[in-house]
Amino acid sequence: MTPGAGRRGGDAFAQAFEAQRPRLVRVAYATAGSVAEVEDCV
Amino acid sequence: MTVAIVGGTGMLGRRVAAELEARGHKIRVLSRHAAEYRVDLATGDGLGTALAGCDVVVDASNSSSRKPAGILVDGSRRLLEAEAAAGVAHHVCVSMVGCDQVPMSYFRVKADQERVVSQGAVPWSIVRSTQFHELVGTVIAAAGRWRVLLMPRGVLQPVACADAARVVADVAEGGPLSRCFTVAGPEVSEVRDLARTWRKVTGHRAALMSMPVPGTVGRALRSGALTAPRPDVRGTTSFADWLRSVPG
Repeated sequence: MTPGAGRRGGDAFAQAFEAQRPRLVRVAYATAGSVAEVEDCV
Repeated sequence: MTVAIVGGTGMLGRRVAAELEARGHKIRVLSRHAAEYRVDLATGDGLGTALAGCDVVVDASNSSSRKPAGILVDGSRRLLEAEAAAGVAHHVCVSMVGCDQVPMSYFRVKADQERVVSQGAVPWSIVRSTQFHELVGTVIAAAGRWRVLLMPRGVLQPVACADAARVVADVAEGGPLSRCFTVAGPEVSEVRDLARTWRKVTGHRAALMSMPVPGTVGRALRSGALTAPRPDVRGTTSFADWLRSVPG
């Protein structure tokens, strides 16, 4: 793997994580006890 | 005693009602869905009739609305006004551990509700609970649907709803405390360990990723603001015990 490919791989991971971030935040709110967020998670 | 349970058909309320009934009290189940004592906290409809002759009121209502203050804060005002008119001697409010420390909207609303109760005209007790196993179990199951458990980093001390219900019943039976009484689970656990326990007990297969969440809720989870290391009462049912006790 060339350094360039590695960077693209890292970007892909970062993009995948960014796409999941709202879900993670929703889960965090739901875990803390916000019923409105639980309903969004289910 | 005659005890009115507001939200008496809900997850906590129905358990409090069953517990107090088993202890020999007269119970009135107040809810938008109740057959006999139909009430609506959003308007105050039905409260006067439902509360006549009640000694104690347990408010186990909740709101899943995006704007829960209409039920939890304004609803508490309507409820307390009706209680004062009916001569109710003790109001028991159910709240959350850490609600006064976490600047996130739902917690702020719970803190406002506590303020309305503690400044109200009816003698009061507040029972602060940590998250219920039922909530944590639902959230982990929902999060694990795609075989990846993306969990926020942080610590919780969840308690079985049934254990919390017994404490609420105890407080309802006692006199007004004029303070917050806390109930929490037997263990302080990392969220990722709760997810591991869920995976192990339920047999679900899912990759587990634990990430810090930015912002106030992330900080609250990481700082332990949602735990109570020295609660007034510690529930005995662990998250694993609870998972083993539920079907599925």
